[in-house]
Amino acid sequence: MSTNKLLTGTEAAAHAALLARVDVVPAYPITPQTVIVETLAEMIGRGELDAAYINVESEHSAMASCIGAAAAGARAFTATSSQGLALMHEVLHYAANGRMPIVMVNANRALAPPWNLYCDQSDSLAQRDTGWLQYYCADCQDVMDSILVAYKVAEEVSLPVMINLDAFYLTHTSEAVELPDQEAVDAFIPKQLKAALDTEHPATYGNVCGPELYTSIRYNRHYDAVGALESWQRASQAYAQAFGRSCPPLQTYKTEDAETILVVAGSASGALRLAVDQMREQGHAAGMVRLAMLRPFPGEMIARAVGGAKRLVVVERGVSSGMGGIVGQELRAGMFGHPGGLDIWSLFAGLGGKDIVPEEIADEALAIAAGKPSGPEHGDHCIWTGLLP
Amino acid sequence: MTNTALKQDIMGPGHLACAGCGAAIAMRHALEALGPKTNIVVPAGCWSTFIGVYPNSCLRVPVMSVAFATTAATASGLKAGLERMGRGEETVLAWAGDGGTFDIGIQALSGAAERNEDIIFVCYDNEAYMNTGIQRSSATPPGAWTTTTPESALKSQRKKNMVAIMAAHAVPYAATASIAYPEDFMAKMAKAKSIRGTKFIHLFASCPTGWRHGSELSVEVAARAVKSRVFPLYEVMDGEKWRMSPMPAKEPVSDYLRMQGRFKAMGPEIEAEFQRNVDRSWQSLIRKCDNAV
Amino acid sequence: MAALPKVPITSGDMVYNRTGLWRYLMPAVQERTAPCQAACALGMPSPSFINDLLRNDGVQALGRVLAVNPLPGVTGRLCYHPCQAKCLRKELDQSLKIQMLERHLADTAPEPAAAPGNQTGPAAAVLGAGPLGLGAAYFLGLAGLEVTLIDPLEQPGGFLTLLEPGKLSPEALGRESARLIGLAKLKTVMGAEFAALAAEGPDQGWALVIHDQTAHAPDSAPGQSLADLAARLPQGQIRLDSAALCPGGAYKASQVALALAAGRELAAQALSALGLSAQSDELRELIEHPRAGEPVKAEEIRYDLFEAAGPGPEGDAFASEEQALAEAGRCLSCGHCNLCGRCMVFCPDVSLSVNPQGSALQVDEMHCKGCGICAHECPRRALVMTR
Repeated sequence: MSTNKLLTGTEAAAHAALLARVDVVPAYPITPQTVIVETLAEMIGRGELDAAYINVESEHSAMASCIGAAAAGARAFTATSSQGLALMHEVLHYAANGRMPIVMVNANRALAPPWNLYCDQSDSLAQRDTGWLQYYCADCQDVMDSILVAYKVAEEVSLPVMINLDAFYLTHTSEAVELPDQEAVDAFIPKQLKAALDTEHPATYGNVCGPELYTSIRYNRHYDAVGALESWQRASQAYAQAFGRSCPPLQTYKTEDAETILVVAGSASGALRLAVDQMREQGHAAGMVRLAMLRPFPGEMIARAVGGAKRLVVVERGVSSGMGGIVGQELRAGMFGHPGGLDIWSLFAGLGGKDIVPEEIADEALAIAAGKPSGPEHGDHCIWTGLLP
Repeated sequence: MTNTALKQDIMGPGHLACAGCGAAIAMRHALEALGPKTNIVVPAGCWSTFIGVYPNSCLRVPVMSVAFATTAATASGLKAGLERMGRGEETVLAWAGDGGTFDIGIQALSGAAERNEDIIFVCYDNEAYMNTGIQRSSATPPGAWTTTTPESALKSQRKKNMVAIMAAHAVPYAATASIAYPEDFMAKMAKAKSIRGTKFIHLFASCPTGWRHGSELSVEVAARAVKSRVFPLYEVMDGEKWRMSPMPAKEPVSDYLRMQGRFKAMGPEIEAEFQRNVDRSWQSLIRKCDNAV
Repeated sequence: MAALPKVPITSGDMVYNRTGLWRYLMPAVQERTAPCQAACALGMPSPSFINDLLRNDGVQALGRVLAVNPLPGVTGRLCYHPCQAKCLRKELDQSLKIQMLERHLADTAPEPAAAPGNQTGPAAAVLGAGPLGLGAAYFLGLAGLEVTLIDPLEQPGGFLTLLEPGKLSPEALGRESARLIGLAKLKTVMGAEFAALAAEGPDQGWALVIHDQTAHAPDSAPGQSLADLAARLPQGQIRLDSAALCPGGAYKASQVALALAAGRELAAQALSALGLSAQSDELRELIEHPRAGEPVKAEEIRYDLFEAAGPGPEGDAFASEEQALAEAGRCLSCGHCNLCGRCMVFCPDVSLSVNPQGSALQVDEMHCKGCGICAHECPRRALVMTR
């Protein structure tokens, strides 16, 4: 029986891990995901979740412990954010290169200095080359659903998955979340992992290797990651059949005839829908694409959604200094050669927890469309809002 | 010692260790004591490199080559995973060099020890970062040459006392051991295997390449380290009961130092200081041991 | 590439990698001369026979001893044991009781069978069944000659038969000489048969006659009888006697090994005179027993690896098999590999093992890197690094 609960995004994540019957939870606190590990500790303590809980002494060790557990064939889960994710960087590579089906929740929070606990996606965006699949949640229900889909995909393609949720917008906001029935989840993601470390079939995992083998192994990993998009879509459809909801790699809103399309990853899509409606009220054919999946990059799906639009205004929550907006950069690369051309703008509206306000976005997007972008412009298709005077 | 033959053939030949490698000897002895139901976690270091070139390996037990700092953390997760999968009676052996234990690995080791994770952590100590070409670690003894402590700037700090650090974590079992005294080492490994919780073994493993001695002298150098009390053999139970292991007759420190080229530039002052440190540590150890003679 | 596993996990071992190509030197087991062996007139291979005893192979042990000493039960009772004076164990606690072990072996090991087939060599006679004569007859018999042992007394042994039973019992002497006679396939003309021969005359078609003048005192009746017979030998034979090797004309009971060695030397001279030893390496080895090289010295023994044992048994003979084996266990086996296993324990490359028969060390030439730890750690310098 499914049940409904009023849950924050972090509580939803913990409940998803519970439903997924994770085996090993290495836990380290960091705002704003701490409630995830706290809730799991209580669930385990009460006997609701039968799992090993390891109070590791750093996030680097948290991921290392996940790797150890996954090597034994156990289902591993952890959560982190910003500084913790950055600290894990070395071992994130290891998990993906090692083809480990770990699922980790990351609360998108700004990186220091200066210290800022609020929403920013530079943390996970900076990890986009590690080989992890990356998904950005729309709302708390999406947090719950995508974790379950993530285990299915991770265990099928042998790649780790990072489920991202916006700091405070999702981690600390309550929503009505439907919790699927445990038995149905068991049927959706049965445990059938094989241990890489097996005393019956002893082997060494990940020792020194030469150039040709390395290249071939990377070739395999890349195309397996590319193929994971199709796995994710299948899993999402199976989830829809079982539970009535899906986690598509991208969502569109009024893009069919759009001239200007707003693009964002994460929960700001709600605000952007309002911005689109406002732009339409003012007579502009606006639309929105919510990019849920960043890795693998769903290039064809985006191209279809974009269609004949003239421009994309990417609402950025992360910046790569010296290059520009990260999601915008991804889109420029992905949309290169798009028929009819595409003018891609980066609108830095959500760094360090700056609120994304629909009117502001609508105004900026309309100004861009009219050829009169406001604010300081360095001739680089980057608009910055919320700057100090 | 007579008529001792190693019965397990878990380690095979053809690996890439230097001729005379003490760490290679160490693994044979360790696996003799632990047997085939052992899962090994090995970080970057000599062992992870000479174990073999993918897709081949010289060990017939499961081994995981992990990132440098993560040995104890990966071992913790591995043990938890094995227990969840019904393989809790298998041993998890963390097998790290001195760099991966004393320096970059110490945080994860401290965390695992504090949680009393059920792993055996063996530090095979060749007293420097040997795999990368002989650089100083906090396990390098004072007066030793390494490429980052050249003759003009020999290592001056005293060697970090890892067993005391582990004892301070009150782990159920911590001990020193040496490749020159295999019966003692294997007995300590067997004891470790029988205890639940974190077991730490600091194992002295000679390195002809880094210490600048003939490859045939690896065992003798290790024996002299014990005889000269530079590396005494002892155990600590629960962080509070210290017990000396059977020790051979005492020999002068100079006999040990003379054998190795890395101490050639030491000079009499540093050597005298070295001897004083050895004496001081030995006295301190005797005071702690309940069976010291 | 479809064959590549997703997870970077190995599928084979490293045996294919011939690290043996790295080395400059390789360990080799060498049979060095032990000091006890060097001190012994017969060159008794004590470490080897003791190792055989410890491996419960009394047959091999006795076989080794009989190759150089046909009367171990006699030397094991009478010899002045210079071997024990040179035994390197005395630096640790006390010399090994080698003589007692030799006696134990002779008295308890299974009796060996003679080689099959008949003697095909020329006919020879040995006058005088003292230890020298017995030794000569034995080695000539092993060399294939048809040897007749001739003595006026009923029992072989010469002056040994005159010793008090406490020193050498007639039973023990009888057992030892019977074994010698059996192995060498000797014909005997003793006691009453001697009288008949003396009457008939010594022209029996022998190609070679050896006269052991030390078998009996020259002025004794048997000594005289033998001398008379020798004087009547026809021309045309090769004749050798003990005068040059034993100018004093007699051996003390404690010198029985010297007498046996002299007999062996006469046998060697005889084979050479007959032109036989040139024909066969086997024959040469049978007689010549090379003791190559310097004996092992105390400095070459790793005393630090042995523990001093308590006082050994008193008396001349072991009270039990256990006691004998306990004493045998004290042997340092100088210069001789006794498969203690220490080298195998310390080989970093798993390149030392025991051969399938369990009798010798073998080196994995494909993988041994020549580090030299094994030779350096050998407690008894039985292993050396060679090109």
